[in-house]
Amino acid sequence: MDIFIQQLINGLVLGSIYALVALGYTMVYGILELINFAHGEVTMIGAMVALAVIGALLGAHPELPGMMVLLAGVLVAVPACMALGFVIERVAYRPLRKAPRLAPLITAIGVSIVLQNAAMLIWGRGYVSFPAILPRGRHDLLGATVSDLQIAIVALSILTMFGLVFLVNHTRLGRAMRATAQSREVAELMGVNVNTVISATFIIGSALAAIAGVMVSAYYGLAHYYMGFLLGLKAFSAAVLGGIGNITGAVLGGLLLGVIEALGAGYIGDLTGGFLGSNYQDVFAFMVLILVLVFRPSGLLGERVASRA
Amino acid sequence: MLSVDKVSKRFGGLAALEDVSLSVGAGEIYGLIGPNGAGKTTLFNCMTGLYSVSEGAIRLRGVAVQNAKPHRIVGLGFARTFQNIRLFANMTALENVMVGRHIQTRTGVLGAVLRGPASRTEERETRERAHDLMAFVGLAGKGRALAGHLAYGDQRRLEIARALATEPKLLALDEPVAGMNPSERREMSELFQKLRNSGITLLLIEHDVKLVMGLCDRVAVLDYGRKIAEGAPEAVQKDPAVIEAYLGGEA
Amino acid sequence: MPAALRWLRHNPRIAFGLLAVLLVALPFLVGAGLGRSWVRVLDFALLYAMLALGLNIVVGYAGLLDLGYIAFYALGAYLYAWLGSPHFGLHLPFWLALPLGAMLAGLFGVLLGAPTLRLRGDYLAIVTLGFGEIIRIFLNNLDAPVNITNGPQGINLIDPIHIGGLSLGQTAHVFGIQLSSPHLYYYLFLVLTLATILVAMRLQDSRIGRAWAAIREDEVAAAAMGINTRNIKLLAFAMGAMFGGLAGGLFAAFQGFISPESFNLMESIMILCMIVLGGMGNIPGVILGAVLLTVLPEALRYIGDWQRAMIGHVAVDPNDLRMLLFGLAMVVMMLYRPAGLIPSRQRKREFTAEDSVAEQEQASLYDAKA
Repeated sequence: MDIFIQQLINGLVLGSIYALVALGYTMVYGILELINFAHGEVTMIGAMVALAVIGALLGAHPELPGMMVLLAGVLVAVPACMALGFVIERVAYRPLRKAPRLAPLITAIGVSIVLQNAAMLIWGRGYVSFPAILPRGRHDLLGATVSDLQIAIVALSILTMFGLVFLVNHTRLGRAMRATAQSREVAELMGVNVNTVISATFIIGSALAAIAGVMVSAYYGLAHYYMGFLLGLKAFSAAVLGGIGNITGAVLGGLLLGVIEALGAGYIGDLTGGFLGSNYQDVFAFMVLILVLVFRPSGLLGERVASRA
Repeated sequence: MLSVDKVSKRFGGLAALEDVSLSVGAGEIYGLIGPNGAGKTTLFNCMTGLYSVSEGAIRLRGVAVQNAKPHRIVGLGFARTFQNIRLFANMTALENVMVGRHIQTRTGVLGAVLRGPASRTEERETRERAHDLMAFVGLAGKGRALAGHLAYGDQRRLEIARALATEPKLLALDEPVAGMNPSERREMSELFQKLRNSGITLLLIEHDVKLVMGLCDRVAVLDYGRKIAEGAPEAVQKDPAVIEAYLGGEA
Repeated sequence: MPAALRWLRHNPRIAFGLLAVLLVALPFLVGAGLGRSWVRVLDFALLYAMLALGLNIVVGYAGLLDLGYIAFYALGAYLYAWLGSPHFGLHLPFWLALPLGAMLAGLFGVLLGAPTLRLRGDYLAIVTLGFGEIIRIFLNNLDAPVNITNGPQGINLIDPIHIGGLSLGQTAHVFGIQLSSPHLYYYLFLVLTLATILVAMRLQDSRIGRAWAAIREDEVAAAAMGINTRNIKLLAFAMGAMFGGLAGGLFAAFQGFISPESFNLMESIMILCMIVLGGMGNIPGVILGAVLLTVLPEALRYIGDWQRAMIGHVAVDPNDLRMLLFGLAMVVMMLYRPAGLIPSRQRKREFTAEDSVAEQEQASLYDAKA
């Protein structure tokens, strides 16, 4: 088995999930210049809600086909997260839109803590495992193994991203979003209802987060009340890597980060002569984040953001 | 005092300044005029280290300072004010001026914590000098007010006091009388004379042509990022290129 | 009561005297009134007050949002543990180990700050957060192949602080009064907290403090006034890190045991919340925030008892509920008192944001056209 190809594939799969979450960060940042710190938690809630629905359905009707149960889970999780995203913006960010930048960041952290602990109260401290309803086919590709699940994740991610690009570039709402991102004041003068646009941005981002949440829990076979934190942080790193505010950048950054992580984890042992092992996998995202911000704060595709002084 | 030699500044592909050269002699009041968007503030920002220049050289008292950090330029005796008033709005007026003393003082962390005789003396002198400068610009007794709460004209004066606190040899004022009524303008004009008499070279960006003409020893006119005229005010006023630029600008 | 307070205000000496007596007697009062375990809570409140005052230099004074502050606390704690425990067989005295820990933390502060301090505020927040996580991941994993941190198990049997012949780790008899270890540490922490307050106050009201405030208000204008913004920001960052490292060493000595668990992101956020809750930039506010947020989670442990008293059984695990309430409190606090419980004079105005300057910029624009 070719380790390089295998890790590359694993990285791309993981990276497409990061990309979905990163899109949520980047859209909100593009429009509000706000880091929606609670976005990772929305992903977690998406996974948890989907798992709860799946579990309940399987309990009541074990004879139902797996894909239908999964679809039902997603169909509940997505609107649930959309509503959550809407509420978060209304409660924690909108009242502070004119406040100093620190204020919404702190309410965002507060919302994160609330969501995490609410999830812990509802679903417990332990891992919630993903029931075995998914296809388990495996295929050979260039000496590596690809599972049905991996293919499904990548395909669904690509589909979702194309949907988003279409929405942003070819619809009235998308035009309003782009105008608002350029300049909130000018968009307002042009008759764009900026508040609606901002709400819509949070709703769309949260929908993507819900899908990503289901994917990540399916991929690892489990969900956990704490999973959103690290996932969110990595996705944010991906958004920064690509150039925050830039939709293509978020996708690129997500994929790149996934690959860097997978290859890094696969080779770190060899690189350090066995001193550091794959348990350092999580370090890569932060290293990449710090290095990007230090050497190219605008990210790969973004505009300059570092303040000059 | 200050010489600008063939300085160009481009933002992306857009040239904001092209081949601008000028020199300011010690003790002069030098005016920089031109229509809106002519590049006056851009030139100011290049000279004071807020922008890097794309080409050309800037010398301050013989030292090359193009692309030097702003604090180094202040250290060489070149202070400035801002067109859109950038005071530390939530600090008191006196504190604003005291911040200006930063470069003239030494106290570090240890000195600040231990408060030995040297740092106590320095702190007292900082405060006294700040009071003196407030009085000099006509703000005596307003030290305890918040900078952001001062009247508009007083904020302009406070910016000058804060810049003076760095003990500059050359002071650059970016539209210092913008938004003032005629009597305030007269007072400011007197303040500029007083500054010159105390040995400070002044560099003025101004829209008010009358004020510039009455006050400046020499003026340069910028238009579309180029210098189109330089010389004594009376001569410049009659320059056809200048008349064209101003009339064209207003048409 | 207000009359008495007014009288005290006019007699500051007596007020200070009363406060001093209260602070000295506090562990006995608390121990007798609430139980001995609360003396430890008191010690932690002081430790957190020191930490929060250190972070306040970075966030409150210089306006740099640091979400990885706990990493410096961890560095100080681990260095103390390495220099004073059976782990490496070293037993250096505290007066050497504590400053070394502060210096190590300060060094890391400079290393992290030098390349990142030019970033805009919220980016700095995320970078520091990432740094905090990196440090924690290393602490968790550096037990193999060479055992440096002993991994998730952490380091045990750390030397308590010895002053002269007195070990603060054991019960002592001073002037015939029996003082337990938490009591002894209380007095040490009290002295150090007071010293920290003094340092913070003097820094704030100095050339350096003014430079920090200027950078926080308008970095460009500060640079144009001759302030080397990069160095001054770095100084704030390093100062904060050193306070963090010092507090970390004290924590290791007091606890006798440390593990990476104690240094997670939640702790960084907690300390930030102490500052924000109490009133950023304002020393009494920061101390109040530190005390409240140390005591509140402890007090919320009684939620279990209240539930038993009210509905006869424990319906919700108090440990689960208290963080939820805590998060809610943060959001509500920011929405209704964005400047904190005791806002500093300056911060209050920053948060009420009456934009007189912007208005005048507008005015000057119109003037220029006329």
